[in-house]
Amino acid sequence: MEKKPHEDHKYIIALVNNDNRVLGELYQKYSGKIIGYITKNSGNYDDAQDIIQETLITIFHQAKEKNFILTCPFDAYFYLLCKRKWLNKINKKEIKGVTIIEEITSISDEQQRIANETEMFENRSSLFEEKLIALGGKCKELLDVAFKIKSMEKVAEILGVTYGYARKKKSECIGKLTKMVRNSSRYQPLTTL
Amino acid sequence: MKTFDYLDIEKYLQGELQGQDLELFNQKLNNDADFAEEVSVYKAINNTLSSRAQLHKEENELRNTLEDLGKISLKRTNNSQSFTDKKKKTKVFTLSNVSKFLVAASLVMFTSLLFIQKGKPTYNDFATHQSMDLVVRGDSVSVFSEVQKAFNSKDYVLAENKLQKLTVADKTKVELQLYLGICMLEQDKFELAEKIFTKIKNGKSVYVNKAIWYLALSKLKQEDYENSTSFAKLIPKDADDYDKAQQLLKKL
Repeated sequence: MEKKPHEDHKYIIALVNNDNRVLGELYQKYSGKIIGYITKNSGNYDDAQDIIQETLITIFHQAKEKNFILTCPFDAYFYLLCKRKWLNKINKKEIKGVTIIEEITSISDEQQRIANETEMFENRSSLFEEKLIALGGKCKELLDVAFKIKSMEKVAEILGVTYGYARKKKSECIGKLTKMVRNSSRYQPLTTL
Repeated sequence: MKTFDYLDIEKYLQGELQGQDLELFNQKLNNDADFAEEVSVYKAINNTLSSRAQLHKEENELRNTLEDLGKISLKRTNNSQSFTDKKKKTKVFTLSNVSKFLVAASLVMFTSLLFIQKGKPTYNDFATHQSMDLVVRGDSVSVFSEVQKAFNSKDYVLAENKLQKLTVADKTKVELQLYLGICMLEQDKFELAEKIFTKIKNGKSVYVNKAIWYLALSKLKQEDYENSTSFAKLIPKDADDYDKAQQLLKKL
C-alpha cells in the first residue's frame, strides 16, 4: 500500500532540496523546544544545535536513500529523535547524577514507529561507516573510490587495474565488511532485502 | 547445494546472473536463511555507503545551511532576550528618568526635524552591520577570530584582505562572501560589492534577503534612489531587515 505523506512532509522535501526558506521555518517552529529540553538537561546551546543538525542530516540521508515518507506530524517525531540522541550522548559521556527533566509531549504510535525506523536507519548506517574505517588498508582505499564512482570501468582506470580485478576485489572487500558487520555486537538482523 | 562467492552476490544484485545460475541462487536464498541474511547485509552496505559517498557534496551544502540557520536562531534568541531585559528595565520610571526621557525625546524630535529638512536619507542612517560572529567552536585562535576582530572594529581594509584569502580557500561559506561584500561597500568599491551581493541574491543560501538589503544600501550610498527603492521593496515580511527596509522606503 502506498504511504500518504503528511503535510509536514514538506520539511523532508526541504532537506532534500536544501531549501533555506522552509528550513528556516522548521528552525523557527521546532528548534526552541529542543534547545529548551537539552539546556534543561545538562547541555548548552551548542549541544542543542549539534543534535538538531545531526538529526536533520540523518533524515536527509534516509529520504535520499530510502525515499522516506513522513506520514505523521513533524513536531513530536523530530522532538523524540533529538531527545533520544541527546540521552544517548549523555549516557556515553557518563554524566553522573543527571536528573532528566521530562516535558509532557503526546506521541502517537505512528510517530513512535517512524522515529524508531529513522533511529534504526541511523544506527545501521553508522555501524557500516565505522566498520569501513576499521577495515582500513587497500580494501578501504578501493571501496572509497568504488562507492563514489558508479562505473567500475572508471574505478579500474583510476586504480590502474583491470576491470575484472577491480570488480572481484570490490565484491571481496564488501564481503569482508559484511562479515565484520554481522559479527558486531551492535548488529541487528535485517528483515527486508 | 552449490556455493556462491561474493562476486556472484555482486552479479546477482546487478541483475547479471542468468539461467541455471540464477535459479540455483534463488533456491539457496529461499532455503538458506544465513545466506539470505549475508546477501541482505551485502546489499545494504553497498547501497548505504555508495549513497553516503555520492551525497558528500550535497550533505556539506546542507550542513552549511543548517549551521547558518542555527546562528540566526541564536541571534534571534539573544535579541529577544535583550529586548525582554530592556522591557523589564523600563518598567521602573522615576521622576528623574522621566525628565531624562523628555530631554531625549526632544533631542530625537530636533534631529528628526533636521533630517526632514535635509531631505533624502543617507547610507549612514541605515548602515549598521550585524557584528561578525564567525569563530567556530573551539577555534578561537584561528584566522577567523582575526578577521572578526578587524571587521567588528571597522578596519574594513584589513578585514577585506583576510576575507579575500578565506573565500578563496573555502568557496562554500556564503557568510564570508557577504562580509567581504560589506567591506567593499564600506570602501566604496561598489561594482565589486554588488557583484558579490547579486551572486548571493541569486543563490539558495539563508543570506538571500541580506544580500538584497545590501544591494539597496549600495544604491543608497551612490544616491541612486530609484534602484535603492526597487531593492528595498523586494525584502519580504519575514526577513530580518524588513523593518529597516520599510523605514528606508518611507524616507525615500
